[in-house]
Amino acid sequence: MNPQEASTWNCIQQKNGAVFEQYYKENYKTFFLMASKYLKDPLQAQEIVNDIFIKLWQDGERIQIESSLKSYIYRSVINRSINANNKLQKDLQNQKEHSYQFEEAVVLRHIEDNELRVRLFKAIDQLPTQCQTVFSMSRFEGLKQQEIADKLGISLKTVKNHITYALKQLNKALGDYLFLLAILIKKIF
Amino acid sequence: MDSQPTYDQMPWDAIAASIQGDLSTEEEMELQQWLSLTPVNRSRYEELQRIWQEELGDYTLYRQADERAGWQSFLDRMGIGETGRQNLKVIRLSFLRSMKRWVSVAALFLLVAGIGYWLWWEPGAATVYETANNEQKRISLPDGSAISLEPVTRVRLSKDYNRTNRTVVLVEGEAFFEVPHQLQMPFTVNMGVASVKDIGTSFTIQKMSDSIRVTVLQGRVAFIKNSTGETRQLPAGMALSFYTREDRFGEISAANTGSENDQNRLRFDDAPLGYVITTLQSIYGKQIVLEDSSLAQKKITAHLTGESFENAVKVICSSLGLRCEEKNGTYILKSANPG
Repeated sequence: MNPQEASTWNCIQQKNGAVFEQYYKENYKTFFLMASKYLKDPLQAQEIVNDIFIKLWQDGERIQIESSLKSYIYRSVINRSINANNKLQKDLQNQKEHSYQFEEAVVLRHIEDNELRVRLFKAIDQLPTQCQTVFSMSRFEGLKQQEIADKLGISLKTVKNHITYALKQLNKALGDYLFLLAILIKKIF
Repeated sequence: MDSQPTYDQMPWDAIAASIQGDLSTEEEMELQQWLSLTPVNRSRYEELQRIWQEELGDYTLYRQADERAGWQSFLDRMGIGETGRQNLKVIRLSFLRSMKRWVSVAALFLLVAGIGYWLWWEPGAATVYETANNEQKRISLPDGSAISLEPVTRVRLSKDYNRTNRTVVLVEGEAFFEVPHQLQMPFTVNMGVASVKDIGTSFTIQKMSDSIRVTVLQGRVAFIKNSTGETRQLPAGMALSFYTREDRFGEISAANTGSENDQNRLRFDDAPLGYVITTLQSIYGKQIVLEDSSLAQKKITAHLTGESFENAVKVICSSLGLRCEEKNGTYILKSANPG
């Protein structure tokens, strides 16, 4: 566990509510997204995340964490989400994924994918307002560039510039993530 | 540093246009020229394409994640009121170490007991009712309402139920609600993305992973999309679905007199294929998968009441240009014209 995480976990075990609340709010979206991969239901995903945090708060002194706090929570979220989904058996995508065993490699891949997605989404959140609007209209509403320009009353060139800028930021976020991943792999080996 | 000149030389306009499927002739030529320079360029382009098409799909879901709402829900489940919230911030055990031994032991005992009491036994903590597989349960509430839980269903009552509100959270599953009308304190079922507010009624709510369906037996309800307040009024004998992944209502349709049953669930009005398949699996007990996950978003209007499973699948396939292959008991739906 890195020193910052170790300090955070120590505070949580000592029932430091302020640190606990800060950690919760800083990481909620990450774990929510992970649970949503298996459950597709925002309320259920929220329940799963809160199940884990309630356990951390109530049983912190008894929990032994070997690796990292974040990794521990990730795995707990994944396990609970899978259990909840096995119980329901109503989502097609997850049924497809449940056909293979959840080996360590698969879990690690899902965590890495989630970490990448969070980086990308944070990059989108930080786009300038109009750029974010144009980006969303293109990616999530499927509008063509001219359609976006007409709707917003801006030039086609401006739309192109916004999309290009957004793509560059996403590429940068990907590059930073792959760079960090490479360092991590280098340290492990 | 070596990658910087390459980064700047990337034809970003052409790449952006291509990824959006909005490429001019000149841009296409520019892109192809750049792609042919080195395999690395093609790799980078395909990675960007993959990110655009696949990795960003859950951004809407990510935006729905509200850490403040999550934290509030956490506090509600812990049964922590305003005073408790303050206590949550200041609880520390370290001060006990500075006290004299006999005092610290007694105080430790009291503090731990206090914490235990606060965490687990504070009056009015949120109450959870749930059913297992093959279990049903009927719950009578203090205001005279009743909730009948189907198997694998979970509901939560706020700690202030029947004092400041009559709000129930339907976390998962299906429940039938019988509610005496109270003008000053309406009954509300909250499902995160949507709510149902009673206007004096009995009604069923089925909460599934990708949809919420409300059927009104008596009276009238308001079915509300929480993020925007968009509301549909549902009178007796009518039913309506809310598709959570698409964040929209379907069309109001007639329900059977009496409570929702399997045959009525086979009426689909502009419903996404993913939802249709989930329903068929639930009713017929067959395993159905889509070869291409993007097919789940195709819309279909079909009334399959009284149809056999095979006929229902045939109707769906012919409506959407699909074909069905059965393999080891699993029915795989594929595009009839691949590529």
